[in-house]
Amino acid sequence: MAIVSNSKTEQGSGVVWSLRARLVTSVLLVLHLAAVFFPPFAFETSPVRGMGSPIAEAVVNLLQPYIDAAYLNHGYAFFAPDPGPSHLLRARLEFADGREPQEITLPDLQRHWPRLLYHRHFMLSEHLHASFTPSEPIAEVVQDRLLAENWRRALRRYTARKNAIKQHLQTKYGASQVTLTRIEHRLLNPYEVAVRGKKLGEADTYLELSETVLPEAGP
Amino acid sequence: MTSVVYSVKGWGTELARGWDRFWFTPADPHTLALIRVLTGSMLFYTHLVWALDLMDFLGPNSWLPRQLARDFHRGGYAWSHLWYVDSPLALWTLHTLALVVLAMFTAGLFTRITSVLAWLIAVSYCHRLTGAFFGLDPVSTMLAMYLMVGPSGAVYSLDRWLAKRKAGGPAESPQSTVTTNIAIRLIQLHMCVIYLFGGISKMRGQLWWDGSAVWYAIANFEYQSWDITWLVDYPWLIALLTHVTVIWETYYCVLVWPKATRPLTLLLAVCVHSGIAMFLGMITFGLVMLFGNLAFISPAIVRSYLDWRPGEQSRAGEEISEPRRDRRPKHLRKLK
Repeated sequence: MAIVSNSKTEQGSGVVWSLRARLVTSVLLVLHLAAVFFPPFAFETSPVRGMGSPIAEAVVNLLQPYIDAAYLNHGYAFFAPDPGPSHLLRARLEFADGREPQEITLPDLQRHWPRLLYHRHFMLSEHLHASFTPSEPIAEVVQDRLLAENWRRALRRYTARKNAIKQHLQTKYGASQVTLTRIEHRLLNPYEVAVRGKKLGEADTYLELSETVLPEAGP
Repeated sequence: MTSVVYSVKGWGTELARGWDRFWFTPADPHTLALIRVLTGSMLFYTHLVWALDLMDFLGPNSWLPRQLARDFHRGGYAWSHLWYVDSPLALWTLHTLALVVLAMFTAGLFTRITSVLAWLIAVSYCHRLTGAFFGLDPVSTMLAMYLMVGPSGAVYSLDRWLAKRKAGGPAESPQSTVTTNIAIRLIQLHMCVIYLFGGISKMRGQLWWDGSAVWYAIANFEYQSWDITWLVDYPWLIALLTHVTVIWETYYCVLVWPKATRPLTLLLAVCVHSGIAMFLGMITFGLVMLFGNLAFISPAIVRSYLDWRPGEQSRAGEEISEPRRDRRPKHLRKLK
């Protein structure tokens, strides 16, 4: 590693640090690196908060103020555990003033430009989907008080997020009613493309998702 | 028993020396400054793009109203000045100021101050825009965080140009400092953590093991920016790309340090992130990951490519050929 410099360095110019300065800095560096390492570690070892490695949980809890404030709470799980299908959002706008109903899709390559803006809209629909909570709890949840409370909280968050999107569209377009539908764009497997000649954007690859039940897992 | 004590003591001393060398050896600012220019440009661009739809994302009737964004962080320690503002006039004023600060940071003007402000702006927007962020945002805020640790405006900056002008002649060579080294080391280690957990999380998936994951990434219509689904006719190539991605990502934290494996590790980073940028529609994310990888390029190499002025070039050449001096404090120099 050629990080060591050969350019100008002088004693007494503040370049070389005292032992005390190095000790204090070392402690701060260890704490910071723990705040960098443990959030993704906790994410991997404890996919559900409070139900994983007690070590990871303990360190993250201890450093939580710093982790939150410095925006270090990330899992870094890009395209993981498996690349999955995309989730879009379709909005049907109806108008009381006689205008024809209108359909808007998030994201939309034609409307959202440049690509980064398209991706921001894509993430809105992906994050809404990720927070999806079925409006009817499964039997397992009904029987457990803690699970039931978690379900209620998650449903409140999901509903608030969804209502905010509805409200935004209603105000922006002057619509009297907005109906949102989550769409899953199924991924085609190699056989469907290579042998059956299916195209990625074919209509039957877009599936409307239910608001009452959880979707099945898989690409 | 005595030999055991001596061995442990020797090991401890060696460890302390290694730690000291790793963190507290002064380094030249050229790599850090290059990362500043690139990260600053990226932050400026990403915030410029917010401006195209500012009211939709931050206004009173935004996709995620400020109160809701704040509620989502309730009980935690996240913060954002944008939780308290949603009037169009105030938002436009703040956003314009943010763009000015980011432009100053990129150009290296009052860098010590603008680097701190750039990080505060980047984090604040991330906490407000919960629900619209992706991999780009944690990485660009991470780089902004470390750019305020070291003197990222020491070269390739308006600060340096102003210093030269004030001196009325050729300015002194930029000083190598410990804080530059700490900033670079933090970027390096953070990149290692990102890749390590990127690799580990992929290892939990079935498709990354059976060699088909890259197919499902390129066959995602919404991500796709360049159709390369013709690769379906080359399943061995898809499997190779899949396996290499997981192995490279998981072992990046080991392979990037030795001189022998670093070039290949960084070359693979260029291939993977260029692929993400070109084919998966995430140019910004692909680029910002490459900016992070620059931390593993020595300042001497950066300088040799970017210092085009003849006077400085010759000085840099002399510096490179100088023998290395032991810059450790006197008490540590004894520890050979």
